[in-house]
Amino acid sequence: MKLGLILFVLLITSAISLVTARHDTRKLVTELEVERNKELQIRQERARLVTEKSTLATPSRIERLAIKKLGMKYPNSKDTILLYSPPVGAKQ
Amino acid sequence: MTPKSQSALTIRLPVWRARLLVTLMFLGFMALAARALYCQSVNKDFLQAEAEKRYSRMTTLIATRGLITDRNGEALAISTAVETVSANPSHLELDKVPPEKLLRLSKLLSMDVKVIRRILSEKKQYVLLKRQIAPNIAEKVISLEIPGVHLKTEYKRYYPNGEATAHLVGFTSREHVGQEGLEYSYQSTLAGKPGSRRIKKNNKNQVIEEGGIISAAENGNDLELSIDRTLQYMAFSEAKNAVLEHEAKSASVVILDVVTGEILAVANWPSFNPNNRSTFENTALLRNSAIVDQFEPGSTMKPFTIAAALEGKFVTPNTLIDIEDGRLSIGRRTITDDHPEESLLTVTQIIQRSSNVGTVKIGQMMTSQYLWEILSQSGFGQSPKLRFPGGASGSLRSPEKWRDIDQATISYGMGVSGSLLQLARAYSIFARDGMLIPVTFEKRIQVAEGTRVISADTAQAVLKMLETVTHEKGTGLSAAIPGYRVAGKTGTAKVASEGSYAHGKYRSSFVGIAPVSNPRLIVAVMIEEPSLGSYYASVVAAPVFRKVMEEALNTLGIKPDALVREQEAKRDVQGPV
Repeated sequence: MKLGLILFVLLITSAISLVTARHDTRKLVTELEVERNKELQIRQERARLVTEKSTLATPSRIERLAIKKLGMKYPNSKDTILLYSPPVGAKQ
Repeated sequence: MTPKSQSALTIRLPVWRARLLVTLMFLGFMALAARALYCQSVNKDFLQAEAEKRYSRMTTLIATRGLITDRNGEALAISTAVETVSANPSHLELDKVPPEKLLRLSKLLSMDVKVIRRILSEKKQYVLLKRQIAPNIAEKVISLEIPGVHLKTEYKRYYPNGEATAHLVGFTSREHVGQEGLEYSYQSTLAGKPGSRRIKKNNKNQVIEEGGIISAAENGNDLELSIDRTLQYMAFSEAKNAVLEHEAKSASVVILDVVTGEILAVANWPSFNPNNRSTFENTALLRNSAIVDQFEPGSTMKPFTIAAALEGKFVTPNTLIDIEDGRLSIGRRTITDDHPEESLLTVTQIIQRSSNVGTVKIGQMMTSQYLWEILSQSGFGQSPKLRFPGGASGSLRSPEKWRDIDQATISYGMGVSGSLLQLARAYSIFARDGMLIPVTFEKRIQVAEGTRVISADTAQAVLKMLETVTHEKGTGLSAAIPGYRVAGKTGTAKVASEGSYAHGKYRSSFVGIAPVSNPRLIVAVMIEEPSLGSYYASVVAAPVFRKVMEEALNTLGIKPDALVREQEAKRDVQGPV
């Protein structure tokens, strides 16, 4: 009689915990799914930013901006002065 | 009921009826039990699968294609996410959607409201609204919460450097399979493998249970190239400028790192825009001429003939060769020099002034077998062993088939062909003390191990001769760079078409090495059919070479090696400083 009661209580506890565990699993899976989506979004965001960075920094764009906006120009050999640095310890 | 009637019933009921009922009921239960048994055991798998279909489904795990970067990690090809907006008109009642929401949608997609209304009223399960929109706009579309409107993520390949790297990097099909260039030859490296996963969803389309990953998605590997984006763009711009300046048909530029064998730049003009598929139709523009097209190198071949003669001890750099009046008849053909000034030239002067007659006379000293061996070992007629689609091997006939005239023309680079990249690579035997180096598109830091073609002494001797080309009286004077010692060779050749040499069509080329005291770079330039003014390499190709080489030396921070000399020269004139 006593044993039967104990088993009954155990059965009910187990049944309830099974339901709770199931519920928890589903909740966690949903959370996992949300995080996965976030990860994917972050990856895509990164790809987008890398693209933007390389587009902004293409040599053709820098050249265009430097010449048009900043009024720069390529140095030619007349503008270039080459200095000779003697090896360390050499006699002057 | 009266006791009488009751008893009457009892009496009247025959025993078989009760038995029949019991039996029927028993059989009924038996049938149920059998059916249950059948469902539970025999047909179990089918039924469970059917049930699972109702709530569980497979989803694809997206794998992205690898990134292609230059040697400094700058992106040359990248896959970015774009969204496609579609709708299921049967899930949406157009009259119930607030008009201001439709107006917002039309603005976000930059489509006419009327068009959107028409599409959404179609009696279909699926209609496409707009392809390839940016993720941030797609997010706003979804936040409008119009029922039945969905997003689907796709990937689009993007090439930030556009036409400057188009021939090199190539492009993919819409299905992300490499079609041209490195995208094609490195398909197996770059391609990702999409995975799949089983999930359980409830009626609200939320994932409620993980069924486990069936196969994991594998993202493609990134590819780091030997290319330097800055040099590539510079080489490309110079090729383009050269075509415009000389009204030429096309131009190509190659920059090689002599030490590692890395290809730093390969550029051609005209080019195409890899981000716009409609430009792909003109297939002639898609060819990477510097690697795929073979041409007769002309005078840029002469150093190899001279190297063979020096190596075989047929001549020394100071041996005098009689070029007479600059004309030499072989059979019915006559070989001529353009501007003969003296009739006796040293071997060095033959290179410096690019004498055809002199080179042919030196070429005639050797057996065809011997000359063939040196040329062949320098890579002419050999596969470039490069991971690039359609890389030309060039052609060099076997020496048994050479007639006298063949040996003569081959010794100055006609009747033999190769790609510009092959020619650039062949010059490594002069830059690397006689070793031919393997070239690559992959980033490589260690010194490339070459195979010996000629001795280091011969290589040094030829390099010295090539340096005189950029000095006073040389054909490549305009290739000289202040501060650096530059060696190189001009090449002006008639363009062969349909078996004969076209009149007035020339190819102007220059291949050079710098700094001579410790070679670091080989630059090869080729300009096809310049039509404005001169076609001589000394005027057309050499200045392009100078610009490319000077810029490359500066960009890579390679120390000038001619300063000491210039200072000493000044000191000689002005006295001690």
